Amino acid sequence: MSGNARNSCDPEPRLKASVQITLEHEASALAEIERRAGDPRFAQVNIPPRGLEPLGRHRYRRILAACAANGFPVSLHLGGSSGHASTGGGWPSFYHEEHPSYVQSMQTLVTSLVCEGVFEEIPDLKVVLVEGGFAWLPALAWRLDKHWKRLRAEVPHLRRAPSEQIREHIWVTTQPIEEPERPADMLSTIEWIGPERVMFSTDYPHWDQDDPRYAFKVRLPEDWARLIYRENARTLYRLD
Amino acid sequence: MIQAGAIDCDIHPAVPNTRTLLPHLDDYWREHILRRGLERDNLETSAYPVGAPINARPDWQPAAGPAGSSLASLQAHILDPMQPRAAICNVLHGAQMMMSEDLSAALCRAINNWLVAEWLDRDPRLRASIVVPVHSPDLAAEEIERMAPDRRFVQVLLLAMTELPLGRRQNWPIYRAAERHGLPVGIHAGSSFRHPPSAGGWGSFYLEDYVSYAQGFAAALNSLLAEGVFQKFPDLRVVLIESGVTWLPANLWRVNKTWRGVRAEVPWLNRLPADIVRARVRLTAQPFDAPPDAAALATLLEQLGSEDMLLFATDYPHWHYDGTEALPPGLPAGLLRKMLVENALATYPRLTAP
Repeated sequence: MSGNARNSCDPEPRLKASVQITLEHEASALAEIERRAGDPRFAQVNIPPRGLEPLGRHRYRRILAACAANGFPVSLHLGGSSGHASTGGGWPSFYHEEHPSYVQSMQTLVTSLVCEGVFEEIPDLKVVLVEGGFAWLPALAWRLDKHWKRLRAEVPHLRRAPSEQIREHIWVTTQPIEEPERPADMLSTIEWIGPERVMFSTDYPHWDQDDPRYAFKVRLPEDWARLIYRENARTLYRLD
Repeated sequence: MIQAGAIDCDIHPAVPNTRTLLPHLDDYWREHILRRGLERDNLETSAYPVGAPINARPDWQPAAGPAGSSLASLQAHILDPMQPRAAICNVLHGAQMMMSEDLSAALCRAINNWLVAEWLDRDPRLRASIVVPVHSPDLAAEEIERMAPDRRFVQVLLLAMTELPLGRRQNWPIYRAAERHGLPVGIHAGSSFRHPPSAGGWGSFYLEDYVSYAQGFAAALNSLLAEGVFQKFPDLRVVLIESGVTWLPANLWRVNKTWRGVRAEVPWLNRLPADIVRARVRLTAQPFDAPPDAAALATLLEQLGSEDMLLFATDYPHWHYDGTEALPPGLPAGLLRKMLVENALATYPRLTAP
């Protein structure tokens, strides 16, 4: 997307862009990743999470490998339509259901990337979940760990516990931030995910954007705030 | 060891084979099945493949037939050593989700008849959920009407992921009938595989599929909330069976926040979703996808925010625990007491007034 870089990043160097690719056209995706590699205006490769098949499937592996090989984190930014219903029980009636169903697409992605052994095969792969919230991630990791122990004969390629792989390879952005009924529960949630894996996002200009002044309903410890608002992204995207 | 007198809210008798159902079908459907040779197919649901380790604990595997198909084994493994006051039979079977609504309804009738003859009549501790054709709400309601007079049926059994989101108005005949008869609706883990578990598509492994059942519950619950089922049917209770439990608090936070933003779209949803869920929804606690440490578990239970919601279940013969450790470890004593008996009695009116 040269337009993206030219129109936004050149006049405003604080802006970085995501490389847009077409997941279902491997040759063009690989070419675009290589074309943008080394261009400091591009921070990551963006893949819409609602694909024809879950991202861990073998057909997408070369694209993910190319992202890692070229130093790009992969951002999974909510959006797009795969043709599949938004929920496992079919198409919902209301946006009130559609909005939380984004979480379920993210859960499918994490589950697929872990179970297919993608992180074991591509140890440099870094994945950022964008606009899916994040408070759901710890329970998914517990569930994967528990049932992996029982069903691991089916996935002999998985040598490490799912929760370890998630903790190592997955970053989350905060918006739309979940608001626990007891605000302090946000702290345990971040602790379970790892404060070094959480990055602030506003989602400007969407209606459900998070204002940096009010997004967290609890005061973050200073070292966490530094990580979440700044350092994690600086490190991940090598912004210095 | 579980104290005697507990209530086991989820056990799975298995139909040993389709031939077993033939005497319980009417003449038309018996001939139909025999002419098509369907009696040679066991019609088990793909959501619970008999060979998957999670679905048959090794020491509960009978010499012949699928795990859960023998009453004598159930008695030896659960009923006699644990001495529950009651155990609720939830049959999972392809009958619930067949493409042909009529065949689906006929086989569900046969399964309910078989449950009465082979299980409920043979052990007074057993109770059951009414098995219904989940894609055919009118026929499902008819089956609820047919079985409801037998008060050993204490619940209606649905699946989390079917053709239409569970809250959709087409499904309301099921809730109307269930509410009229004081039957909670039990939503069990599983899918009729009309849709992949999310818009992200079909996974490769059963592990992925089983893990995805939790997100199926989240979607089903959000549908019931958004469509106003809890307002339309004020006496209806919902039990989420075999859901894993610990996904719920984060889902409630998300849905509460979404409701604050877009509630104008669903004006009948006039209470905070989490409050409705705590008042009307219950969850069986096997499996319990627990965090690895006790402090996190304590936090999680506080987030659940009610001691009334969890129901004890062994999930027999599914393999979630070994030996007699049928309770998730680390639960506080007060909660355990409620889980084992009181919560089930409050959820299932028919357990106290037979």
